[in-house]
This record gives sequence, structure tokens and C-alpha cells, in this order.
Amino acid sequence: MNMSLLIRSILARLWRYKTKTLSMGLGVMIAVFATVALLAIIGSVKARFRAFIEKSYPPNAIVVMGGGGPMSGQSAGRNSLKLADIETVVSSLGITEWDPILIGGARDVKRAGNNVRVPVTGYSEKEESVRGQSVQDGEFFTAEDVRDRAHVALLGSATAEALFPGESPVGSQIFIDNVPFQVKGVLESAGVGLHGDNLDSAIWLPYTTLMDSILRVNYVSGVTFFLEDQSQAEAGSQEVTKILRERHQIGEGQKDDFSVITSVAMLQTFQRSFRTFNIFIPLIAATAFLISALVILSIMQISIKGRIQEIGLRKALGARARDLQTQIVLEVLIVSVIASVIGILLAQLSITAVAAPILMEKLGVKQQNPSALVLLVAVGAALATGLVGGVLPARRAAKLRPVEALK
Amino acid sequence: MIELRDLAKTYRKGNEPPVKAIDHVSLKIEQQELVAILGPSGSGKSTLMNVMGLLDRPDSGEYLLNGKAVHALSDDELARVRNRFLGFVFQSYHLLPRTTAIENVQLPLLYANRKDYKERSEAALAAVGLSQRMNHYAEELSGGQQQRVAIARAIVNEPSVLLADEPTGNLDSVVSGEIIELLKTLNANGTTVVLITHDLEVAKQANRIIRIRDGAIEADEANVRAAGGVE
Repeated sequence: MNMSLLIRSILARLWRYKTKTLSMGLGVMIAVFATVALLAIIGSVKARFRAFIEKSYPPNAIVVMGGGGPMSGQSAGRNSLKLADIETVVSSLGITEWDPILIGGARDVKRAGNNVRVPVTGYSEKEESVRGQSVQDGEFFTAEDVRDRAHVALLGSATAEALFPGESPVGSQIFIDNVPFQVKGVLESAGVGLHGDNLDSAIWLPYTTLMDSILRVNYVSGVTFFLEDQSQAEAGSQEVTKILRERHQIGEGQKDDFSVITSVAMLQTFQRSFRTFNIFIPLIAATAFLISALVILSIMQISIKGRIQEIGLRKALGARARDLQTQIVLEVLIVSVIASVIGILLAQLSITAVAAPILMEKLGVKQQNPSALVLLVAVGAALATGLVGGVLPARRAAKLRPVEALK
Repeated sequence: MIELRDLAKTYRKGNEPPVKAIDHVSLKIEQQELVAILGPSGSGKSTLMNVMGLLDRPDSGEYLLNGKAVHALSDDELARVRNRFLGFVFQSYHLLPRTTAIENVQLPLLYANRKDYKERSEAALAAVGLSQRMNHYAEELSGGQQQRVAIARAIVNEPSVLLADEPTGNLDSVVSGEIIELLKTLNANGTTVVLITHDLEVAKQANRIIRIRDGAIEADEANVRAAGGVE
């Protein structure tokens, strides 16, 4: 067979029978579009969560939270973690670096006529290096500020703008729950948190000051211990558990009133929570492709019934059974390839035009382009779909006897 | 060119009595003959045409085309023989819709795998006087023009035998005359032409008339009245 002539005539035919071509390709197009878009978006969300976890739970860190931990949702034991607990752990494990966190909740903050309600959090001076978030204006609070329970505050950039529109707040006074504080700096922008919260609407205080002057409590919400050797993280976390259970006088068989988290455990939790996606997305994609294969199959079957004369004529003019098979399978494959390319372009378009801005705004997720593997899998699935939908009608067509088809 | 030896084909349909569509026919058609096969409908002439065109297989008998036995060839070999040696013209043209005249003419060349399909198909259309209509869709052409396209398609691969099955059956008398003239010209240029018809006036244009009735040859005689008749 003259392949270039065949392909030319197939393309001409697909163009002249646009409706039929469209209905054949639509299923593949939607399946490719959905697969590529879903995989790309979920991939980006996943990457964002992973980055957050890796930043919050570095491999050499042991995070201890009072109560059931960050994902438990239970409030019992939230006040269990005392400074003396931390000191004991630090001295018995020989830890040099640690950074506490005390969640103060939303507080009334005043400055002249401007009132805002902002979440207030306590940290040590280590937070700057540990989290890699510094100030864009003024200075970070110091070890001395923490030791002396200084009334200094760092403002998130959005809070600074709300309280001091158009001016630098550094050195000015604000009131948090009517307690006076001096603004020491303005934090660098951190964007949007995992829950869609604006991380720049925040106030950071030395945790000691927050404990004594605002919350009047004797505990912290949590603490991160940094080990010199990250291979010791697992052993260290068991040691920490042992010390805290002893200190909190928790008897055998009783549950911890705190939780110890390592990066390994956190990444496992993370993988678990995405497992559902990992199972269901391929399942959804496979279903979509299967349906489009059935659509192609039925449309080709109908189409071949309407083309019996054409098939008979082609046989009379010298087409062998395999020539007709080649023609029909090629027709379907060409439609599948074109449809999958359109599907990919549509997915790309909707990712950049629709999904990316929303993800950025709501979740702080930077949308990445779909990987080459995703595209390859999508086009491969489209071709397989075309083959499944095309081979059967092609075989049927090839079996027709010319004299019957020409009647 | 064509030699049929004791060819037979019977149709059986349900409980109806079997129909002898070809009843032990033997005949010989020489190269460059213009033969009419004449018979009323149901006489078996269409079955004979299908068997001669290798579109259908006989139950028994031998068929030699160009001296080669073709009754026992495989389907793929038959397709090749049809493509190389036979050209078909049908009563209802059988052109592909939404396909241009030249694309219709190129169909046999697709399966012949010829690289010079453009030149050949243009030449074939020129031979039937349709150079100006090359890029018109089949359905945009008149009946006579459609049949000319079909003839161009039949001759594009330079066949040895042209089989025309009621080629003028759907056309008025003026256009019919033109189509018959075209077939006669092709015959004069070397192609063997077999004309299947029920119309005596059409058959009279041939050099030889074979009359068929009930699947058997009733008469086979030279038509001296036809121009250029030699026998």
C-alpha cells in the first residue's frame, strides 16, 4: 500500500466528516485532559506538602507537642509540656539547639485608631535560623529578649500594613490584649499556609514573654529538638518519650499526654494521606479511557455499517483484508493522537489559566507543569484506547466479501 | 484473455429451490475484444460478471485469466489480480462521497503502491475528458460525469480487461451514447471490454453478443452491424 497516499486520504476524510471525527475523539480528549490536569495539580499539591513537612520536620529534628500532636485534633494534654521537661531532655540527650513554639491564638492588637485581631505565636530567637524566615525591616528578637521576657514584637507584613499603613512600624508601640509592646521588626512575607491562611497576618513574640505577660501559663505548645546526627533521630525520639512519660508519671498501659514526631514518621503519615489519591487517580483515568474506547468502538461499528459499500469497492479495486484493517486502525489512531494532543493543550491551558492562580491564592502552591512521564502515559493510554476501539471494527470490515458489500 | 471452462455456481437460500445462476458455462474472450453479455434480469449475467471480476467464486469449473488459473487463488492473491488486471465500471458508479474526482481515481493506485499516482490519475481523468473537474466532489458532478470518473478509476492502473456492469443503466440516451463511445475508444486503444447489459441497443454496439438465459449461454454470435466488427 502507498502509505503517504493512505495517510493523506485518511486526514482528508477525518476533516470532511468532522462531526464523526469529533465524536470519536471527544472521549479520548476528555480522558487525557482529566488525567493530565489531575496528575499535574495533585503532583504540585503533594510537592507543596512535602516541602512544608521537610521544612517543619527536618531529618535531624524531633518535634514534641503537648497533647495528641498536630493532627490529632484533641485538646487534652495541651498544657503538658513544661520548660523543665525541655531542660531535662536537653541535658540528658546533650542537645545544643532547640526551639519552642507557643500558640497564643487570636489576640486584640491596637495601635492608635487601628484595631486588628491577629494570631500571636511565641518562639525563641532560634526560629530565624531554623525556619529560615528573617525580617525585612528592623531586627529579629535576640536571646537576651527571650531571657529577659522583653516586650518586643515582630509583625507579619500584612499586620504591619494594617496597623501602620504606608509607614515603618519599627520602634513604635502597640498593645496586645492591652499590654504594651515595642515593634522590633517586620517579618519577610511567607505567603499562604497549607490551610489557606495568610501567614503574613501574624505577630511573633519571645515565647517567654507570651507565657508570662499575655497567656500567663507555665507550658509551651511544642518544641523542636535538633540533633547533631540525624541517624539518631529514631533512637532519640524513643529516649524523649521515655523521659517525658517518667516525668509526667504516666503508668504502664496509659496513653502519652504528648506526641513525639520525627521526619520519618511525618513523611509516612504524608504518604498515607496521599495513598487514596495514588489509588483513585489511575482508577478514574482508566475508567475514562475505557469509556472512550467503548465510544470509539461503537462509533466505528456504526460507521462501518454505513461504509459497507466503500469497503466492498475498495476490495474490488484491490484492497486486501489487511489493507482495510490498516486503514481503519490508522484512522482511529490518528484521531486518538490528535485528540490527546488537544487534551494535553487544554490541560496545560486550564492549569496555567485557572488552576495555578487558585492554588497559589488558596494554598500557596506553585503549580508545576505536568511531567514528561505524565504526558507519555496519557498519550500511551490514548493510543491503547484507539487500538481497543479500532481493531474489532477493522477486523469486521476486513471480513466482508466484496460481492456482498457491493450489492 | 479470458477463458471459462464448465463454470457453475448455484445459490441456495433457505427452503427455496436452488437457483442455478451459472449453469456450466464455457466461453473464451480474446484480447482487445468488445463483448456484450446480454440477458434479462435474473438471467445470471451479474453473477457471471462477479465471477469474471473475481469478486465471487464459482462452485466448480476453471477460470483462466491471461492463461493463468485464477479460480483457486487465495483472497489476497485475488485482490492483487483484480488490482493489476481488472477494471470495474458499475451501474451506480460507486464513487466515494465527500471525496474528489481525482481522489476517487487514485483508489486503485493506493493498493498498487504506485509512486506516480498523481501523474497517472491526472492522465486518466484527461482521457475521459474531466481534467477541469478533478477537484470536484463526486456528488457535485452529473451522472454522466460521475460515470466518467468511474471509468477513469477503472483504467488508471492500465488493466487488461474492463468489466462494465450496466454502465448506462442510470443515464439518459444522449449521455449513454457518450459513455459507450468512450468505452469503444478505450477498446480501440487496446483494452478488452466486457459489457454486461439487458439492453439490446447497448449490446448492439459490441462486436460480439453473448446471450444469457437461466444461467446458460443461449447464443454467442459476432455482431456484423457494429462498426469495426471483424468476425
